This record gives sequence, C-alpha cells and structure tokens, in this order.
Amino acid sequence: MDEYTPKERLARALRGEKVDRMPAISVTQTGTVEQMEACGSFWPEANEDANKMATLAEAGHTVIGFEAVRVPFDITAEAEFFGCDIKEGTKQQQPSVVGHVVKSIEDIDKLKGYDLSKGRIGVVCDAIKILADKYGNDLPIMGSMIGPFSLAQHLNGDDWFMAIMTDEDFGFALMELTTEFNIDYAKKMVENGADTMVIIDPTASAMLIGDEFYQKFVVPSHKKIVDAMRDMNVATVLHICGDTTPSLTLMESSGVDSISIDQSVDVTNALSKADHAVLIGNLDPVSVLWKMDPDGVKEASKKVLDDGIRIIAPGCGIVSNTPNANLQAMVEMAKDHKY
Amino acid sequence: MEENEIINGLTEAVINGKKDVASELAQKALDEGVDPYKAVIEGLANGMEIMSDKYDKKQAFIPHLLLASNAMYAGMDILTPHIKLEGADTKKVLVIGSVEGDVHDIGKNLVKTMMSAVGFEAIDLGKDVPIEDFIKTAAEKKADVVSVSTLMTSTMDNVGKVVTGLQSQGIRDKVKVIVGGAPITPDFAQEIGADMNKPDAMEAAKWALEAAGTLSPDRWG
Repeated sequence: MDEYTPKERLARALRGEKVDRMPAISVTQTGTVEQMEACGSFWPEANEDANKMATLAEAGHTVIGFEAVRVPFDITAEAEFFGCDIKEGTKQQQPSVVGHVVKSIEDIDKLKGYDLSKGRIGVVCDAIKILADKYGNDLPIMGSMIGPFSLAQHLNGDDWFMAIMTDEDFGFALMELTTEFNIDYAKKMVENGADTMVIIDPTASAMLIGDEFYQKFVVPSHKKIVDAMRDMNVATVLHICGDTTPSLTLMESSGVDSISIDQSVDVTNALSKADHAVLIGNLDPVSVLWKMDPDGVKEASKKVLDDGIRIIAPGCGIVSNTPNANLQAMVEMAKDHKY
Repeated sequence: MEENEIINGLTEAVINGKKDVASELAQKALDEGVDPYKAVIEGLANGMEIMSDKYDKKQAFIPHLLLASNAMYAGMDILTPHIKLEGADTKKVLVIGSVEGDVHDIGKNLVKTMMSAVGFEAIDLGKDVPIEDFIKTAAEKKADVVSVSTLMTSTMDNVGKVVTGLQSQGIRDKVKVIVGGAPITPDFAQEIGADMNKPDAMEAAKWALEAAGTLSPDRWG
C-alpha cells in the first residue's frame, strides 16, 4: 500500500523531502485532443468556461493517470485580463497574445486597481474550486500562471527587451505591477483550493536576457511570489524554457522549491548545478512524447531517470496531438520509480 | 572626418546600440563621399556580426542584439538607397516570416537582421503568416531564399506545409528553404524537405548567402 496520498507525496517531493516513490505529474500544460475526445470538453471552449476547464483538467487524472489536476492550459489569460488582444486558440492550439497595452509609466498606472473576479482569471479560479471540491483531499490541485517577466513582455511587446536596458524606471515599474498581480492572483488560486503553484516564465530565460538582467529584474520578483506562497504553505515550481543549466543557481536563488527544466538541459549537468531546488523534467514533448511510441517513451524516460531527475515530466507544454498511450507510458515509469 | 573613422564609428554605433549615432554617421558617410556599400558592409554589418559573435559567447543578449539591430537598420535606411548594383550583383532576395499560428517574431527578426547584414534584400511577411503568402511572395519576388520559423511546437506542421506548397506550385527547386525556431531540429528540417536548419541567425545568414549563390540566375525564366 502507498505510504502517502498523491497530494502528500507531491507536496513532499517538490520540497525535496523523502517519499515512497516518484509522483506522476506534469507541471506544464496537460490538455490533448485525445483527452478532449474522451471527456467531451474541447479547446478553445475549455479555456473560457470553468466547468469545461475543470473537466479537461480532470481527464489528465482519469484518462492519463496523472496524480494531480492542473489548470489552465495556456499562458495568455493574464495578458488578456489587462486588455491585450488575443488570437483565439483552436482545438489543437492555445490562444496567443497579439496586441500590447503598455507603452509608458502612465499606461502602467492605468492598469492598477484591477478586479480579480473578471475575465479568464476568474474562470481559472472557479475551475480550481470545482476541482478542489472534488479531488482536494487526495490529489494535488496545481494552479499555473505566467511569470511576471513574461507577463511584462506580453504587456509591453518586444520593446520590453530593450526597455530593461534603456529605461530602468519603466522596467521596474512594470515588474512591480506584474509581480503584485502575480501574488494577488496566486493567493486567489490558493484560496480557491490550489496547493501547488507553477510559475511559467519562458521569456525570463537568462539565455535570452543574460544573468545581469535576470538578477536585477527577475530574481527579486520571483522571490516575492515564492515567499507569499510559502506563507500559505504552497510549494512553488518555476518553469523556464531553453538550456537553463548555467543559470540554475541564479534561478533557485529566489527560493523556489523546484525548477522544471526543458529538454535541451543535460540532467546530470543540471543536478551538479542546482543546490537545493528539486529538478523536474525533461522529456522532449515533440520528438519523444508526441512522435515516439510508448516503448520509445519508456526508453527515453529510463535515461532521464538514470541520470537522477527527481520528478520525471514533459520538458515543456505537452503538444495537443500527443497520444494518450505515450503519456501513460511516462506515468507508468514515474510510478514505478523509487529513489 | 576620415573614411576609416566613419566606418569604425558605424561599427561602434551598432555594437553600442546607438541608433542616432548610426544615422548621423551614415549621413556623414554620404556627405563625405564614402562608398555607401562599403559603409554598410564594413561599418554597420561588421558591427552586427561582432554582436552576433558576442551573443554566441554569451557576452551579449537579446536586449543588446535588438538595440544593435535597430542601429544597423537606422544606418541602412540612409545608406541603402544610394547603393548602385549592376547586373549579376543584384541583391539576393529573401522571403521571411513566422509561420501561420505563431505570433512570435524576435527570432525571425534577428535572422532577418543577419540576412540584411550579409546583403539580402529581406521581404518580411511578419508573424502569423498564411502558408500561401510565403509561396505567392516567393514566386512574385523571384526569391532566392525562403526562411520559415516557429517558436511553438503546435505550429511545426505548418512549417512543413510551406515546403509542400512550394513543391505543388512547382517552384521548390527555384529557392533554398531554411527553417528555424526553438523546436525545429535538423532532423525535422530534413523530414519536411527543407534545405537547412541552423542553430543561430548568423550561421543561417552565411549559409543562405552561399546556398543562394548555387542557384541558376535564369531559373525564374
């Protein structure tokens, strides 16, 4: 018999505490077409409606076997909340941010005093409530949100990359807004029943902006979010794309409990760099989870497990056309793994 | 101002991401009778190549590259209209865009910058570009190189569709196709019938220039 409930197991594993075996989860988005067909809840509607969102999230557990439920499936609700134009998604594809609303400090001021019950932010919180009522005693309820640096980029557009260099006051002011929003939003997800918080901050890659800007703009902001979550006894996961190996020390300096690494990271190397953060990853969502067969997935999983990954998971968002059987193979490998 | 000073100044302006300085020196180059082609290649493009190299060595990052790129274009806007090319020296044509479904274009813009730096006339279709637009523009502009990118795994299939579209229009062999973006690998490029995938923008530009040179100038009839 299992020693822990999935909820206890993940809570312990993310904090680096001893567990009976590996939890089977995905910290990145879980929605796929085969799951949509199995549960009858499809993108794009499942991004907009709390019941449909909860139903598709639930399929991750009931159809695939993930030992957690997780919402939402995209990272655009936050920018949409602040008024950015969104290109609507399809059954196969997530929505994208196409318009930006912040050009100046005055624009930032206009965005203050928001109401978190509005828009898809409210929908995500409602979906969390539905899932927590149904599964909250047993399963981890994972809330996910875009991180503050990437949200700033969504709000400001690609000029953001230059602004952090040429206009520090503006850069800090926008980070202050997004960080406060992230904290408020994360707290609300927790109040609705989330017990694990995933911060997806792809644009904040030190590969893109370098350690100096990462230290200046990203670390203090992540630290505030992580501290707020720790006060509520919620474990945090940070996902950043790309080969983050050289920046792991900097990334974990925010105090984040665990870091999700992408498929371009060498696990052995990464383990030698990360001091306290639990490393999660890093099966290639394209060439392994989407394109291989279950045996191939198992073989690729074995390699990552042998390298010593603490929790096996996709290295980035699961591709919507990924077959159930491949995700199930990964789940099986995780469940069979003892430390 | 000496010619050397102007050219070195242009290089420095790009490296330091100083748009205004680049414009000013480009105008000065014209006023002082410096060959505008030389000012672009040895001045501006050289600066961009140095920045690309620094990026590879992780001494410079996206903020620095974008500022450098802006400075390069500011100078080129002034100099390029004065460059006279004759006969076989006509500029090679690049058609570039982020594929349908993908709204990211920082990477694409950097590839475009490097392609411009090595001498391509870059026709930028922007982001979220319908597949048929790549094909139509390639035919209309008698393109040498078509560059298709995506950052998202969900739109990788559309990259393949551009290649298929070029084939079904019978113009696949008239152009070189390079594909790129985070999820794209050389294996994927080969699988969909593209000519090349390169890990960074400068390498992509250098390959493209060489590959374009192997195409017959008469192929578009």
